[in-house]
Amino acid sequence: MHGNHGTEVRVGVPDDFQITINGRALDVAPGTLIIEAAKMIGVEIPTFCYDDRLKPVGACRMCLVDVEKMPKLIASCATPVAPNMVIHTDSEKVIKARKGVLEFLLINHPLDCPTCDKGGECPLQDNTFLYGPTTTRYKENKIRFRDEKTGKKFDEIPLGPEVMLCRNRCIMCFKCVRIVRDLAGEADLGVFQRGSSANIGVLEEVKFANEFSGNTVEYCPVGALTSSSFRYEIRDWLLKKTPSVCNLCSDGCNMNVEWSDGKVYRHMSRRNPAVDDGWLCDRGRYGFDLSRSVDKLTQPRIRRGNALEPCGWDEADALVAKHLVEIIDENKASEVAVIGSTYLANEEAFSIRRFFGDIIKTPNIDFQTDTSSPLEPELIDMIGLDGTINDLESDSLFLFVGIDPAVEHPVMSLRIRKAITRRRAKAVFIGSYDKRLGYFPVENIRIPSTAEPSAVNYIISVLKGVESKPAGANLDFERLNNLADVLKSAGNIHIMAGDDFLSHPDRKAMLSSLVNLKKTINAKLSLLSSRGNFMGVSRFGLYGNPDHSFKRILEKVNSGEIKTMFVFGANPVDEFPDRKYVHDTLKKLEFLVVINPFLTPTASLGSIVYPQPLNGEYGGSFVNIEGRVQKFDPMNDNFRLSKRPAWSVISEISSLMDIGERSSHEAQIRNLMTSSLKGMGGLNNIPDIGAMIFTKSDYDPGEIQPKPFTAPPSDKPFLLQWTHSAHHSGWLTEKSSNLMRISKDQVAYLHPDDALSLEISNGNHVRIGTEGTAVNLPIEVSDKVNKGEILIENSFSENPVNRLLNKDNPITFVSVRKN
Amino acid sequence: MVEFEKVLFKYIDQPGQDTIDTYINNGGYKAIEKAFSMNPEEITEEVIKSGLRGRGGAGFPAGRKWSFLPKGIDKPVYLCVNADESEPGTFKDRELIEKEPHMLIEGILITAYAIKCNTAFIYIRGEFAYGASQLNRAIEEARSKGLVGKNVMGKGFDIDIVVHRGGGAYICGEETALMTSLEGDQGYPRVKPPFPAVSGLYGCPTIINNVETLCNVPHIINRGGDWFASLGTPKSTGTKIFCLSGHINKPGNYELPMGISLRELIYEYGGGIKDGHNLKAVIPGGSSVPILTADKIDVRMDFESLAEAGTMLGSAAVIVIDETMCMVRAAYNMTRFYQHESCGQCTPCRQGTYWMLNILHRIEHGLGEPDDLDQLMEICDNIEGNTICPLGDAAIPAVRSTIQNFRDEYDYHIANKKCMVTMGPRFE
Repeated sequence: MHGNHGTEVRVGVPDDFQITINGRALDVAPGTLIIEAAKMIGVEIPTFCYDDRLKPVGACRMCLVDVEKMPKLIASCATPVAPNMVIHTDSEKVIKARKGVLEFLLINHPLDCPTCDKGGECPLQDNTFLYGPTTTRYKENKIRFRDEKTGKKFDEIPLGPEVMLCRNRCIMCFKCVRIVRDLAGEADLGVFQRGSSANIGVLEEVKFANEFSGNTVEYCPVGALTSSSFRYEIRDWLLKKTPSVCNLCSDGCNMNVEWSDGKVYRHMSRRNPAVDDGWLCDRGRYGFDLSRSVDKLTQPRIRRGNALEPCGWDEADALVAKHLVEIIDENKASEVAVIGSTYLANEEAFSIRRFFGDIIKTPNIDFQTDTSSPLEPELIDMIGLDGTINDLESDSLFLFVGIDPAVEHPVMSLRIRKAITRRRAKAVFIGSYDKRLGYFPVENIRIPSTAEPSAVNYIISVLKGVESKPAGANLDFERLNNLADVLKSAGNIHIMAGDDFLSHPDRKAMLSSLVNLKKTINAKLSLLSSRGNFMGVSRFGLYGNPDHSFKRILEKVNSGEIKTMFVFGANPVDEFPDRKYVHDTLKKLEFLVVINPFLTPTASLGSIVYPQPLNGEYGGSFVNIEGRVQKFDPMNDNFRLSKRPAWSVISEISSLMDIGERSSHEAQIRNLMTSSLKGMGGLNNIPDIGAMIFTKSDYDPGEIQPKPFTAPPSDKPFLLQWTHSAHHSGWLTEKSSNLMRISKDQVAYLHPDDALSLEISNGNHVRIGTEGTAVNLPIEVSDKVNKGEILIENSFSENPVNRLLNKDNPITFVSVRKN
Repeated sequence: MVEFEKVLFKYIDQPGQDTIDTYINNGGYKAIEKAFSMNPEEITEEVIKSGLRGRGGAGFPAGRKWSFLPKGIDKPVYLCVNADESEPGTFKDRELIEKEPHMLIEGILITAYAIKCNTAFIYIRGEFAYGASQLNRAIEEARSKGLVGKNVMGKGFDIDIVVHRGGGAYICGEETALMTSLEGDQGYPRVKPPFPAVSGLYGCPTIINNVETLCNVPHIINRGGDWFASLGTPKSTGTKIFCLSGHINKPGNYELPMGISLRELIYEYGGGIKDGHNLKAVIPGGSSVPILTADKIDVRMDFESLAEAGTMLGSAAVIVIDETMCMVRAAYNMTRFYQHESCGQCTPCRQGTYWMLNILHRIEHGLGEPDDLDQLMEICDNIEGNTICPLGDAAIPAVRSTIQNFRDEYDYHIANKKCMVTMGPRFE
């Protein structure tokens, strides 16, 4: 239920029946709640505990309405309409009841609005103003919660690293508990005590830090839950709201950047029913402080000797332009390489291609800095969700292979959780370590790492009735057989593969097996990248041609064929799966221009470094996982003058080179995109909910047999795997002090049997090493990983996994030694 | 004293009646045998004919409740036995559970057979440790005789009975909170509709009956619905166990036909008021019903007559109050109970009971103010009918009916800062 009032009045739909609200007759569908029916004709019923996305509880009693022939007032948020119901939302009884409820709520609610962060955007304030009593008749003492240990009055409880609880303000609407339990499927929050002593809380040993915790703060109807990153910072009415789109994963959640005086104070949801449905994950919500980071670059830097010294924009632009003019004059375009990233907007990607590809005419353009086996063009075109995010709610069986949706696509995974809870959809993971979707029931079928193609091929063979067990693979055939049985009879199957598939050492065989399985059971197949604007940058010009892939470019740098490199928004030193190699290679460049918000390890190697604007500082558009393009704006036009996204840098340089016109607004770039890209009409006219502009294509690689299993060498007996934390996805989010505070510390997971034989226990620091290099990490002993395998949470620059990786060796074995 | 044959309490004081052999010797487990010779619909029909009304407080006709179960759906049907007897003044189910556990089990068997249920839960008040052990023992006895478990008496009917002890919350005696609690969640009532018969325990059709209600079922099957309907009054059929307590000489459980006069109950059976004092008031159906003043005790103890008198039969817990009791004190005490037991889910009950308690506390402690009584009445109005479950409504009579009937005592408290009855200040 969304949209404008009065637009959803239904006429002549079968099964509909008539009801009357405040004297106005309307047709409604069976099962419609009274509150929703009222909304259709523009009748607002005040509530605190109602949310159309959560199961109604009818707890606050603010929404009581008068229904003729019913002896009592009824809760309109929890009662469906019945034929010929005659409802009054403004009768004397209703008005009295509302006043009574508000008076009750206020007797124990502190009147600390002047210091409460919710003040100004508080439903309790608003409803009291509209419907409540003007004075209080309450003469007694208000309930004041006390610290259970000291007995002192105490009302600032950190539930977790970010969410603070003021119990005195709580009106017990249960929204937070329902968001956590019913939506995220976590058990962190609960109600303690009963009656007037009832209060929200967490158990002592629990930290309220699940990946959706921030939603409880946003949807709390009073100031009971506040964010430690926002509280006491600024008043709501001083904030301006700029529509934006999150780019920290590829879901494309809509949000408002809320700011004042050029400073971002918070991210709030901006409900797009087709994408996020009004939820944000904590990574997207609390990552707002990236733009406040003290490390953020504010002006260009230029290399003088060993140091990168701040310089003016003009100086940097002139130097780059001069260098490029020389390259054109000397016909050395092939010595130039350009590296983009998925953090770039479509307009930036397009400008890069247009300038470097069409004008400078270098073929060396890529954005895949995180892989040593670049994706084939056919595979790039396959990336994307099969169907829409909304469609996920009607899928009945999810088969996840090489993807952890809770971590890679948090908000999209809420739709999967919804399908599980509302429609009893099944979720099955095939993988080498256990994954979860909150506490909702999922099945984890464990296989040895990298054995996905063999497992999937085995399932196909069972489905086709020609059961053939792959040689040498240690698979749980019984459970795979059971899964095959389930697949045979299930409808609406959705196979998903993600980042572990894209970095799989035997990706070709895995793709072949997944496509075969899709054909065999007639399922949907989604191959997903979790990286921000993957679909946008790949299709708007940073296309990964394997002959000019980043890996190939590095080889050409080493052979001296490439001497100049532009790196837009990427940080290969932290991403490429061979840290030493990429670092040493980039050092050989004669001229390296890096555009990045921070002085990353890559930027530190640069000849010239430009500051890259962050979310809220520039305008553009991103394409999400479904192929939906969505616009975002800068906070205000001042940013259009002071901040320079990639297209703006290029525009300055090219105008200095007397090529092309200077652009000062992303809309100008979009106009160019419209005229030069077939079928891309009207990027400047994207509607609020975005527009689906890309569809994924089908490709059948044919039958490719999996590579034989590699046994570990005796000195390095552990197979290395890595994953991300849900709060934190790499070198960029590491600059957010909020996210670093929320995120768990980096650990490595080791199987209990291995821990026992190595005499390692929980929390012990170990040295995880391979040829001449190592990381030092604390161990968490857990049977969620296989014996003989070690799982590291990546994306922490102190102990980067790519230090252990080798570009020529897709499977990495390591030794584990207690420090 | 009326002449009649006791139904539920006939063998209640016979030693060993709680064992299966004695129970069978006294004619037990005959009804289930007879029930198996009938089809389930006939049993429900017989119970409807008997006019048996729920003994938990609301008095809803038991047979009609069973007939609300949706037909032809493939979900399991559950039977929940409400043994969470917590209404202040009520102690009848406890005696039945402890002394006649097999009568309850037989009632469960017949009911389960009638409603096609294979799993029954007895939700027993946590404090009834002895009762729970009696039930568990009796269920095992019945199981060993093939009366509980698979293929009962070889008739192809399966029934399992699970005894679940509550955690000590009055609210869990409310049927929807009972189910929430049984499911392992905090005992919060649910919004109705859907009613339990449609979507109850684990979202399945569920019938919830009180212990005393179910104990009547075997007798109805044995002797026919017409026999049961001939007892009591036309609309309140059968006998009823009245729990006599308070300032009375012979407190205890009394099984009597419905419709007996309150005066007879107090003076004939209860032996009159203690210590020769005068009667002041009676709460006829547990602390949740409006109080009756001494001049109204000729009322008949059945659902209709008490409703006409402005109160309710409730759980038939008759609390006798004599002239030595301060009614402000009584209201304060009862409100303290409801404030303590409010689950805290919905606003009017959570906040309203707390507010009322605070005002009553002030009045009781000599700090009352003249507008307090109007405020109390207003709070009652704002709670009434506006809550999820009946607990909010149940908290009102203690305040409202004492103010209505004994306003002079309140006024005296407020004006003189001391109690009219005890003539002294009250301090805790």
